[in-house]
Amino acid sequence: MPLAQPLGLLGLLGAVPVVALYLLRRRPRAVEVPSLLLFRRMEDAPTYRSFLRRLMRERSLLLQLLAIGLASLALAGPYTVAEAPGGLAVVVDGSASMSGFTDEAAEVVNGHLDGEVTLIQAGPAPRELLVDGPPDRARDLIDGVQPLDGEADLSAAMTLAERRGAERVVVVSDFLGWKGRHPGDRASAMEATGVDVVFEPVGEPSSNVGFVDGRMSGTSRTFRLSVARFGGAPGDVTYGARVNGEVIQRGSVHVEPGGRSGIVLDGLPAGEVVVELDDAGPGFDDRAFGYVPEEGEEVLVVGEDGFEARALDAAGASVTVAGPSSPLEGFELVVLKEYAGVDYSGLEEYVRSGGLVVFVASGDISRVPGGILPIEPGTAESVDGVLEFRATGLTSDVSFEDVSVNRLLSAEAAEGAEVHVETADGTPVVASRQVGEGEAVYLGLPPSHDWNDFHFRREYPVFWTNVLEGGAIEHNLPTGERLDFGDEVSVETPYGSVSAERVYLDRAGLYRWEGGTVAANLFSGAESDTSSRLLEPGEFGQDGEGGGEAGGERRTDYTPLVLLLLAAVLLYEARLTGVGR
Amino acid sequence: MSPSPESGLAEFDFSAFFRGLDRLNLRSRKRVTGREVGGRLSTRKGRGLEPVGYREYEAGDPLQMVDWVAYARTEKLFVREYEEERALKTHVLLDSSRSMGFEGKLGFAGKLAAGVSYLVEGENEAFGLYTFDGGLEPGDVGRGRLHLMDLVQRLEGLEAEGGTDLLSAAESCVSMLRNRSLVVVISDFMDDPKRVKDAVRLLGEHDLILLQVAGPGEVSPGFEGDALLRDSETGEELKMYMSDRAGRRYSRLVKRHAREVGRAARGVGGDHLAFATSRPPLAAMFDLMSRR
Repeated sequence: MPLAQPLGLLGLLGAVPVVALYLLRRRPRAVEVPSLLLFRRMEDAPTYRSFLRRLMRERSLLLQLLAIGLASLALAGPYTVAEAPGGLAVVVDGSASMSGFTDEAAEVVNGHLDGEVTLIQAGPAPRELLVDGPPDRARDLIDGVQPLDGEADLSAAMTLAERRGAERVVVVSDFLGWKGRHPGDRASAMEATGVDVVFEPVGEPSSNVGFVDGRMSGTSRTFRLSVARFGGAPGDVTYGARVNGEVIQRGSVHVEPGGRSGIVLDGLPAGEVVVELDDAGPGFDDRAFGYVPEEGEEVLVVGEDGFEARALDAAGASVTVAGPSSPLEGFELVVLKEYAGVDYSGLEEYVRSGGLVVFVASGDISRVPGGILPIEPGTAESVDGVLEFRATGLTSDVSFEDVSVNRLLSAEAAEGAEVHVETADGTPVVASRQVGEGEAVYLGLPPSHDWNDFHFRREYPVFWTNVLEGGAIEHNLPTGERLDFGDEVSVETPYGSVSAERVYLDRAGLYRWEGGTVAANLFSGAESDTSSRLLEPGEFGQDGEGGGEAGGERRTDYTPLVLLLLAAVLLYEARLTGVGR
Repeated sequence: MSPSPESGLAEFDFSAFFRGLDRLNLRSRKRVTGREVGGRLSTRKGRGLEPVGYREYEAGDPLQMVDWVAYARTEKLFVREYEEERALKTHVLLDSSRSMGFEGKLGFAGKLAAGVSYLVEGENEAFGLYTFDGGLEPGDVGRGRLHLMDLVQRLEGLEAEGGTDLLSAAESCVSMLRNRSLVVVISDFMDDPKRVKDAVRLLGEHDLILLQVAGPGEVSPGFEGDALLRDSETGEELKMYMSDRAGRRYSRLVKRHAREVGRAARGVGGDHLAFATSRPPLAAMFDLMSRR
């Protein structure tokens, strides 16, 4: 059995002092006994066997010698090398920062293809491009693979490769950034189970300027963007903003290395917004996309004019206040304050087809059919306590714990509902529920002084803004999200037209379909920071020069097994000597 | 194991111990011989109430003992024999050799000696304490509470020293006893088995009780590996390696030795009881009385 570090066997010299100490204290212990009578009657009483026999009797000494032997062996790193049975898997980093290195990545992958191969693209979730396929097919696929506008979970892709039975996993990446577990840790764990992992770095670190954050407020028609510079020298970055293809603004911002600067586009007209940085860097993060709806959202408030209508109006919505018999068609949000006389079958159809409805707590909310209400209502009860809330889109920037509540509707969350705000005893106060393609929201804080003071608080309009922007009518999403249409829909995407029931927002850009537009952006500081590699080859004992230490061979390291045996021996020795007793 | 010559009896509360014994009564199963008239049955024939048989007249026999009715029938002089009621003397032989200094054996044995003496004193019978190691150290035989107090005082000053020679002690004891007595030997019997059997045979002429005491740690060697063993009584040394297997064999020998002592006692119609020093002395006395 070969040894990785033969010098580790020098540890065996530790046996010399142990045996010497044993010999030194070999003098028998003096014991005074009442009488030698019975000891003399023992058949083997006065016997002195050979030295070897005596050694064999010294279990403790033998265990100590065994422990020294095992420790030395562990230091030496025993291993065996066997012909690898194949089972090659190649993980290709599909993150946005790989966009400049696709050719180099394909070349590296081709260098490893000499038999059946499993090809996995690492993205937010790993994707199998080929399972145990021929090398030619893999070459074709790798030439056509384009990075995604998102971060890649390399460790998840490596895990998938291991699950597919790969004996050898080649990871091709720029190692500039990743999400999820550190790939070096994952590689160490896989090596321990006998899987060879080879890291193949591509590309080189370089300076970059790109968009790292952004927020489009459709109601206020403002696009706030953050530009960061990674490496390089300080300087101005020029940009141009277009709406529906027409340039509406050009300008420049000064950005220091390691710093950020903001760009604010307000008063935007309705339509598709594209902001582009000039001569910024690799190119995957130098464009930001936004979408401003044609008009403010059409909102119907069923019931009397009140705080809700005013808050929604302040949030930029076009508000109509009407009675319960008013038709719902054309409205993107319906707020129900009164429940008598409402056509609930029409309301359910409206929600299921993609509408958004907010149910404001009221004594007769129980008229609403259970299929669409996010709660199972009870009676109004006095409460005295602090509200607890989870950080969700609906609760963003609203301090619900400061709201003073006197009365609440006792209720339980309906099946499938998500509770955003609740009391300490679990009574839902704000809850939402997906109903068909639409969404229903329950607000347990009606604008009544007897019930609470939420409507007097400055966050009250913020909540309604959250409803408008976080509901089913969101037009600006991060890459990696998914659009679910229910039926097959033809969608024009940044990577071409597709017809599907669901479309992944893999690339930054605009996604258009009949009746809607969504802008998707990668805003990731980690991905845009291309100035330094986070994992250098060799840092985790990996060989980045292709093929690892034993191309075509499988190396099995027995060090963990030896360490396990060592631990068992030490435990037994501790038990013999009574350590801990 | 670390020996201590002190018995520890100086700190023992004998009064409380005796109160616990008040419920007990020691009775001999054998008839005894002796000159004082007491409450026990004697095998000595003479003047008494219960006739046990006849023998021919011998010169010197009192004439009033001649059965004249028998003479009228047979024309021979016969003397009627009666069983006399005689008092029982109890002699306690206590081993005070150095081996008794281990694991509180001497203290425990001393408590048993005091307990037996107290019960005998309760019967208003005579008792005496003899200690022995290499030889016998006789004590006075007497009756009454004052004699008991003297005995207790002697026990309190007892120390474990010297070797064990039970046979020599038994020979000395038997030569001193003129009448059949109750002899109670309290010892660890760490002596040559043959000599122990000879001693028991000698003492077997009397009503004999052997009380064997052992420390709870003495049933196993108490050490492992190489050891230089030193006999506490003789100073002899023995090198040996104590393995698990040897330790188990030693334990078996301890039990076998106790069985041999018991068998020797039963061979002469005596009793043998073995006690660990961890047992409460009163409980040991209850065991003894339940056997008697």
